[in-house]
Amino acid sequence: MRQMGNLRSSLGQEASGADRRLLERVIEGDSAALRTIYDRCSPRAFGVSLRILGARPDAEEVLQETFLEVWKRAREYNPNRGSVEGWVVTIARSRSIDRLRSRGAAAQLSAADPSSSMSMGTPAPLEVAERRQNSERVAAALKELPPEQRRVLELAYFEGLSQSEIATRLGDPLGTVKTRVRLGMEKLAGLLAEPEGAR
Amino acid sequence: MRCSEFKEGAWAYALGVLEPNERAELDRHLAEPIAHEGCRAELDRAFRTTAAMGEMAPAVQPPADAWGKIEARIAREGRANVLPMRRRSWVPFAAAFAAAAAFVFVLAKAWTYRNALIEKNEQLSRLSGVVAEREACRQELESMRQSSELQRAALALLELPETRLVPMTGRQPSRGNALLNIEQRKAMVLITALAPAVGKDYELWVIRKGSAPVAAGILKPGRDGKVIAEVKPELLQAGRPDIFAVTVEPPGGSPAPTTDPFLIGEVNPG
Repeated sequence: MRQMGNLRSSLGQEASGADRRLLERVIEGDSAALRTIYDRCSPRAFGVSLRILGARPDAEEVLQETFLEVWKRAREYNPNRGSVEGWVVTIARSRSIDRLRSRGAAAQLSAADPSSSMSMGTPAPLEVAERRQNSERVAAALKELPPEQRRVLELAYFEGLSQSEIATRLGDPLGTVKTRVRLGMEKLAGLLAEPEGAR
Repeated sequence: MRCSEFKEGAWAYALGVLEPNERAELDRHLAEPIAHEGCRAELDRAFRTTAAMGEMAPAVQPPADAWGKIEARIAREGRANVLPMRRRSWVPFAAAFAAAAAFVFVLAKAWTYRNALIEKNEQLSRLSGVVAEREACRQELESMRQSSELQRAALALLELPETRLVPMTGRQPSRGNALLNIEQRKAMVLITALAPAVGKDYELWVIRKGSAPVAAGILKPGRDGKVIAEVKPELLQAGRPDIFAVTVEPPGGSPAPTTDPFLIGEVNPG
């Protein structure tokens, strides 16, 4: 068993060729391709919307808007900015934050109980394992961030607050919040880019 | 604005925490026809990181009727900004139709001659063909049944909180995970993007430091390059393995590995 240690390589390098082919089919009007993307990406997109909005009916509306947008804007997908799932989740997050702002419901944020409905349906175990692996990887990376950096990133990601709003919420100087956002994101990017097991 | 300032602001831009005026300033810089110092690449990196943050929220299965509602909205609202292919002129369409019709005519003629020639042979071979087909079907069904059972077992193992994921990496694009639940003495490997094994076999090994690798079975990838395999519980009786590895071996496997690992996953001691 020679060179066992030399064969490690970075995980998470999703083959974007398959993603692009799927989106090309969506661009051509193939709703079955959209369904494939839906099957793969909707649990995470729905989870993010539910976490942001707190209410299932709202999250369901956003889910519809998200996939309508994927259908209409498939040409705009940029593989340099992440996987198709990342793109879909980003759309879901943006639409959720829009809705949150439009209803002025920052105060209505409630802890959704995802455990009551947490399910992965009946996907292939290979995909489930890879998703769980990605989640564990991001969770581990977030744990390595200093708590004050993690807090500003969570407020930004899940509540859609601007840096000024975060500063007001936390009572910290705006410059401090800006530094924490940048340092937190840079560190997270570095941790996520590290080969598996390097930490 | 200088490129270094843009790159500092790119993270907040991708995360969506800038005020509109700040965002506009970064947009203006990006649009400037200058030799940028990696501005776009940094912004892409920031977007990739933001996209990964979605993993902070748990995946939640949407309601069963959600897809139907999306389909209905697609049918109702359509999408005016896409599908230019649907508005083709009739001229190339007619030409394509004529070519297709000619092709079908030639094909039909050829088919008639072919049928006359092979009809007798077919009658002779039909009986043995049916037998072979039935056997192939039986094997296919058996393979599907086994695969389905393994999928269910893998999903059940994944749902156990104490099951650990051991990423297996090595020769791209193949990759996978070993699922290890040492409390229940269960382990499975899930591997994807394996090339067909022609004149060779993929063999799984369970390794403990200081001991010789123990053969854990031959992995037979399906036509989709995926394989799910269960590790025999007795191979886990001695406790937690340190490494799962896959090597390429002569057909039928080897008692000890003869090649470098193709894929390898180290079990974290923690």
